[in-house]
Amino acid sequence: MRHIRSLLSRLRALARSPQMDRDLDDEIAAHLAEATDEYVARGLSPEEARMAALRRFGGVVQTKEEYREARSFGWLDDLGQDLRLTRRTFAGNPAFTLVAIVTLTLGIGANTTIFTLLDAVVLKPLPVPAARDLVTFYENGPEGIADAAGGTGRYLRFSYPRFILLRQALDSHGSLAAVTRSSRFSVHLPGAPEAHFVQAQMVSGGYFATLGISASRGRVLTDDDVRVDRVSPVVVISDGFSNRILGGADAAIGQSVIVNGLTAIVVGVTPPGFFGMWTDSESDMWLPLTLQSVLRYDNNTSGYGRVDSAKPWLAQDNVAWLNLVGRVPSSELRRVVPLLQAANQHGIAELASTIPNPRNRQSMLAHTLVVEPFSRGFSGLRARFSGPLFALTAMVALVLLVTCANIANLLLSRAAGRARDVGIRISLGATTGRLVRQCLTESLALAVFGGAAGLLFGEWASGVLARQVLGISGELPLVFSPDARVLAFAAGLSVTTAVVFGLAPALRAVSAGRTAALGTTQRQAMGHASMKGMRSLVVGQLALSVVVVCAGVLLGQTLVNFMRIDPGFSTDRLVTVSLDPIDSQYPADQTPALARRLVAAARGVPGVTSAAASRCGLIAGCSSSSGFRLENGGEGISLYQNWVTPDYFQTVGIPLVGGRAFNERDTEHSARVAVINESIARRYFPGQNPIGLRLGSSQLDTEIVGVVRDARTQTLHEMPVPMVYFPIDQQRPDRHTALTNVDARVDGDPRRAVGAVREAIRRTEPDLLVGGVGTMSQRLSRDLSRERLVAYLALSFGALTLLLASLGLYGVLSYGVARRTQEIGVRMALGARGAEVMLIVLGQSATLTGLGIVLGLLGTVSAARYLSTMLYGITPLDPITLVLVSIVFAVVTTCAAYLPARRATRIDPIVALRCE
Amino acid sequence: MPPDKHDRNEVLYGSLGLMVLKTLEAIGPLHGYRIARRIEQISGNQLALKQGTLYPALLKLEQMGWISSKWSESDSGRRVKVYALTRAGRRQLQTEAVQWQRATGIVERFFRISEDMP
Repeated sequence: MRHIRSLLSRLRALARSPQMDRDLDDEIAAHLAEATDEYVARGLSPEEARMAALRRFGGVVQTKEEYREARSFGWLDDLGQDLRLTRRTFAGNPAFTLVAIVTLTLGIGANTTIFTLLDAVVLKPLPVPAARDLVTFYENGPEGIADAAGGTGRYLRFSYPRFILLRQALDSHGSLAAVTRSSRFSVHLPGAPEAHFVQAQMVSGGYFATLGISASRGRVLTDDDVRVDRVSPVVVISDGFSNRILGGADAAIGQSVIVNGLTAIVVGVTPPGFFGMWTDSESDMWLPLTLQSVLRYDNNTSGYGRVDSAKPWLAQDNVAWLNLVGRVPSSELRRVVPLLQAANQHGIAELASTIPNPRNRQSMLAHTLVVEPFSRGFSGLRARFSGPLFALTAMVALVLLVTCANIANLLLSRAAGRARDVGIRISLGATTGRLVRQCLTESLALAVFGGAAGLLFGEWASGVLARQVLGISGELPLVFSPDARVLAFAAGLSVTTAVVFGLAPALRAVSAGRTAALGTTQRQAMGHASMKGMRSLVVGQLALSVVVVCAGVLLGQTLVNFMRIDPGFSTDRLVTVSLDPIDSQYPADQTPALARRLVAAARGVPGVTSAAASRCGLIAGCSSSSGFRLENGGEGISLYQNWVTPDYFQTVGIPLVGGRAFNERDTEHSARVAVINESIARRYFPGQNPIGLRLGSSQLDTEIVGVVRDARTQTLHEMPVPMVYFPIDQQRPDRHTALTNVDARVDGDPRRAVGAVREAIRRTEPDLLVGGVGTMSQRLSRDLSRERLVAYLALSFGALTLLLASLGLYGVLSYGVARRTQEIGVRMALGARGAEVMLIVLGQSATLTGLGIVLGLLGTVSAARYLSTMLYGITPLDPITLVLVSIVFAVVTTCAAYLPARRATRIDPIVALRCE
Repeated sequence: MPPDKHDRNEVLYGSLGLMVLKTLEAIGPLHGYRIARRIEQISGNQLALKQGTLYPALLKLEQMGWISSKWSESDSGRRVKVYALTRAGRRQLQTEAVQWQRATGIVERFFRISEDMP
């Protein structure tokens, strides 16, 4: 009660503080007058009486300060005063203020940008309760490493029987769920003609319970919906999907939807913000995994041994198609993992006994189960970008340091100008804390403006980068939406920077002020110490910028090296089309007919000189591999394979080095033929002519008729793989292949043909889902998106730090010249020539720059090993780069030093000697 | 630079407030200078009171609602702020007087005990 009363009184006081200040003045004046009267009455002269009264009173200023502190919330009142002062300072010096704020905006904005991406791609946990208890499962095996971050690949897939086995092993220690990777399903509303395509996953009954997600409307799927003995056509949909298609969550419950031809009932809607476990491919619909065969789901699977893909996968132990996610309390984890591993080993042994090929069997037995924390979910982006994003975070932090140093320098040089001001305030009784607070208020105000602008900038730039460089098209995944974490980061960063760049100048200003208060001149007050501080800051800035620029140049060189790679096919004047015939409900046995129609359609476009269709496109993220027997080359050999139309090699420009390419006479009914690449010929038929030899999956029934050059078919990042090509007309009746790509070679600018090709395909096959039509250069540039992200950002950070460091150098040299006006004037009066004076300033610049470059190169050398994994075709200590960067710095800094140097030569000795 | 300003003020505020309340109770409404002089006189000029420190103390007492103030005229005809004890202030004075006596009593006993110790 008492506190509240005091608080209210203080609040009232705040509202009428100028009035109360006047009242206090009056009261003190009256007090002093009364006291003076009394001393006069005692016989002192009026002056003596006045002095005595003042002495008895104590410090008038202190009393007022204390009074004000007691009256209000001290600091709040001070803050008001500081802010008023700050506004006046800013308004009085708009150029300084603008430069400082723009610099901070860039510094904080760049950091916020990278942090937003880093947070979205690498750091942020899944939006589910207690995400830290989630675990995921994969196997380590002899064939390579699992992509545990990206959540793809066979090492992360398990069969349904294995899932059941592991779930039994986990028992009551936790919960375990199985889920397919999200893939595109067609959804019709009853009576509506057009189909919607949505990303959907099939899940086990415990999926939602394991993640800890309950429905916002209706219910989630349970074990009862996912029973092997009956088909239960129910779906749970996302909040976004219910709003987009079904008119809101309430309306959605109980509606029928036709999913891949199956009529199902919507039983629940997930809460807004839930998107599944893959942060970069969000799901909108979840179905019981028991519907796999009914829904004709045929994606993301790996088979071991003899697989009948037409039969339901549930019962087949050798079809791996499910990712696993578990929830195990971290205290239990160490106890549980051995149980799970033992159970898995048991399952492996059983599966291996069904594999006929001994080599494959051995390799299967070598698999071991890994259980890993999974709080952040899967992210293909994380797998590709986490390294580069951490490197960029380090770089951008250096940029911010350089920014801080710059502003600290600006403030330092201003602190000098203010020494007398501050000195007067100290004489009047201002305390050190109070003055430092005043200076920090200014820094904070700068940081708040810079931080707010930086946050906006970061939000915009991270969106642009996510689209342009990470290659996300359409709506950005939810994980990219700016949230409290980013806000907190930007705010924390702003305050930290304000203290970092503001504190030293503030203390300097106060100590200089104190010296000034003792009556020395401003020039002496500022003294040597502060110049030394400014110089070390500049050297530090230059050194940091050397590191960032070197990194930028190396990474830029890496991008150039990648772009110079010869992929083994002809990349210009090629239009590519990616297709999705499975999702378009095309029966797989019509693939050859579809291929012929598409090729004919593409050929019909004016300017197209040849066209081809294939199972997998080049650099399209599509690959297929299988085990082969080779004539006199052993068996169980894993080769990549592709099915193509006759003009394929000619169209994409993969040169034939021996034998013949496919032609119209290689049909379904003619003898089976294959074309291999040089890698296969070199590795498996060394010293022989492979033409005429045979290969096959179980029997040697296919004749090798040609050899083509190696090509980087999947990504520029990987060396060419052993690849065997088959005519698309000769696909196996038991395993139909889909067609996902059409290529068209044109004789002009391929960009102009893109629209016509798209239109021709749409006219021929109106029901076919066309994923994208573009040029091969676009695909290649997407393939290098990571290198581009890193190179562009690192180079712009480099340019930014170089600019900032040059500005810093310019500022310090200018200030130095201003300080030494008198000295230079004397020199010139004594006969020094302009050139000599200029040399003094340039020499100073060279000393600072030289030190900066040397320190920077040392820094680069020690940072090099972190960079080496991201470089291609260049070593992190590339001498040419280091020398080049040093030269650039020398040139740029000399330019920055030239202006102050010239100003020094124009000093008029007479004017210089007269001042001060 | 005012030396150890905080230490002294903190110590003084507590007892200074009590002295002000007691003064106002004994004499009735007074303005600042008169209060200061009165306290000095009562303490036999032993208290090195900087008169200025009285004003923040007065403000605090007023914020607590223990005294009230209004502008009035001094004997010499100056416009001065006159402070008076409120009813809440009277009550507060009673409780504080009791507390003060109890506290001094305890401290006194400590001195007595330590004198008794051999």
